[in-house]
Amino acid sequence: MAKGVYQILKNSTILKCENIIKSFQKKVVDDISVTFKENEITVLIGPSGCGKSTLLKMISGLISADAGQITLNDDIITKPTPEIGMIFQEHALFPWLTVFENIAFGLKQQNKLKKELVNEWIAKIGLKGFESYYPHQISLGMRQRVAFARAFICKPKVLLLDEPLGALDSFTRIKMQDEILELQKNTNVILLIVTHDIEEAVYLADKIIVLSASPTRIKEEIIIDIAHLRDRYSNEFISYKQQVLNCLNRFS
Amino acid sequence: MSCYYPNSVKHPTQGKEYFSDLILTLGIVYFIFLVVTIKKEKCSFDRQAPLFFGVIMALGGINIITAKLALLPVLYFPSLDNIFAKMVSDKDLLLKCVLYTIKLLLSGCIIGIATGVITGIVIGFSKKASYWCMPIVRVLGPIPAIVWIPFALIMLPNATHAASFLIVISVWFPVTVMTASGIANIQQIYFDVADTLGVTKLNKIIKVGLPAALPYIFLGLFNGLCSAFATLVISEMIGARYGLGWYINLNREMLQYSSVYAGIILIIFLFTLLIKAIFLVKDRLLIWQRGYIKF
Repeated sequence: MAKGVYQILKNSTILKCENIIKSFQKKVVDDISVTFKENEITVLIGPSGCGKSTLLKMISGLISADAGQITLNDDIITKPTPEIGMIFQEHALFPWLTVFENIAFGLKQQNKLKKELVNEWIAKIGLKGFESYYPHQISLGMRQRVAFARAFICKPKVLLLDEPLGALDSFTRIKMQDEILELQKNTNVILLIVTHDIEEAVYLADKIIVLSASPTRIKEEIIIDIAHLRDRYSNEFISYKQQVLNCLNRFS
Repeated sequence: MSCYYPNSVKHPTQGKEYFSDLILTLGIVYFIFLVVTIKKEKCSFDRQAPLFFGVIMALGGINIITAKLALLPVLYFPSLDNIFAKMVSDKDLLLKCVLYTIKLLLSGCIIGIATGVITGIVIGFSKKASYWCMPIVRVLGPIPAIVWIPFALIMLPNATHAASFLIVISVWFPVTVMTASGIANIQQIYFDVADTLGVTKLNKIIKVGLPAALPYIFLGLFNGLCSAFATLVISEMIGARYGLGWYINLNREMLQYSSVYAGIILIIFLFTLLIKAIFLVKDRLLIWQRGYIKF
């Protein structure tokens, strides 16, 4: 029994940031150490310009840390890898590719393209019939769904979401929050989300990391102990929102 | 009016009424379009009809000023009948000239576009290449291609190669600059996405850089093509044996203005067709662009 548990723990994905420091003209990220576990949704929240996106870019390997190291299952991350996917605020779909081609892009580049799988994902995000549309021909919400499908279809171990719903109207945003939870289900992916929206953070997160103003440091970790899907008007939910807001006010 | 009012005696007679035939043909085409589209609520002919009618009227006006009333010097402004008669009598030579011009233009343009895109990509993606090549492009690029005529004649084995070289130069510069500028203007986020999806360095150029820069490349292509047309006519004057530029120049020297205008009309047709072909390719390749640049 103990051996079985050990095996599961050994095989599960762990993303570790250890003593990460990053400066541009001045220090932006200051000595951040944190561990993310498989099947966990972590939300990073903090004041504007504190360095949340910089931290995500370092985790993705797009930029390197000045000091410290980031490891995924003990492998040091030095450059981007398909194991760590990323979704950006501006969706960043390739405008010259259709919905189908955008979703298939990553798989094709990794020589793993299966048309049935792409069609399956198109159906999953509710875009059947829009396969041959170009990004400018579909709505913002649809585009963001395509961006999600493009990232999820490659089955990354870690998925970084940099304010993924920031550009959407509040109605679409609420709908998309449920869709993120639905997509993440049964994937075992580590989901790391940056947002400014406290309600969104409390709704999605298993764990909220509150960051201080620049140079950013981890100020508090709040475990949200409510099962998904959460009732936004429950006392528990409102009290978590209050807790995050208080933290932010204290540290910004 | 063209049929009933006699031509001025100042113009040499051709025996055949080419202009009347042309107007008659255009009239029949106009009438057929009218009948075919009259029941359709919306069709492209609705928009084209006034222009079509205007062209017929303008041709009629030119015919009255030249053939009927001979208001302009007959030597320099021949009647449309005479111009069309020249096209018919010189048809073999003109066909040779058109083919020669197409061959020269295409060979020059294809080499110019290919080298332009390659240098543009190298400059756009490599900082080192940009450092060393950009000053050369900036200094040599804006120089009109015809300035290179003496150099081309010395360095290249024959006049055809020299003419081709001039066209290459005139296409190469705008294509290079616009390709490099297109690549420099690609949003970094596209490359970031490509990186996180495991795209190789070469594929980042081919699958991301090139398509993203394509609208700029087409802008360079249009600019290049326009200067290639200008260069083409001049380059055919430096010892070519055929070509529309050569034909026009030769007949100008012999004061054969009917032939000069015949050559000009063919050049207009040829260049319009080429531009139309490029537009078709552009519309197909840039279908993904919202509100893409219209010409």
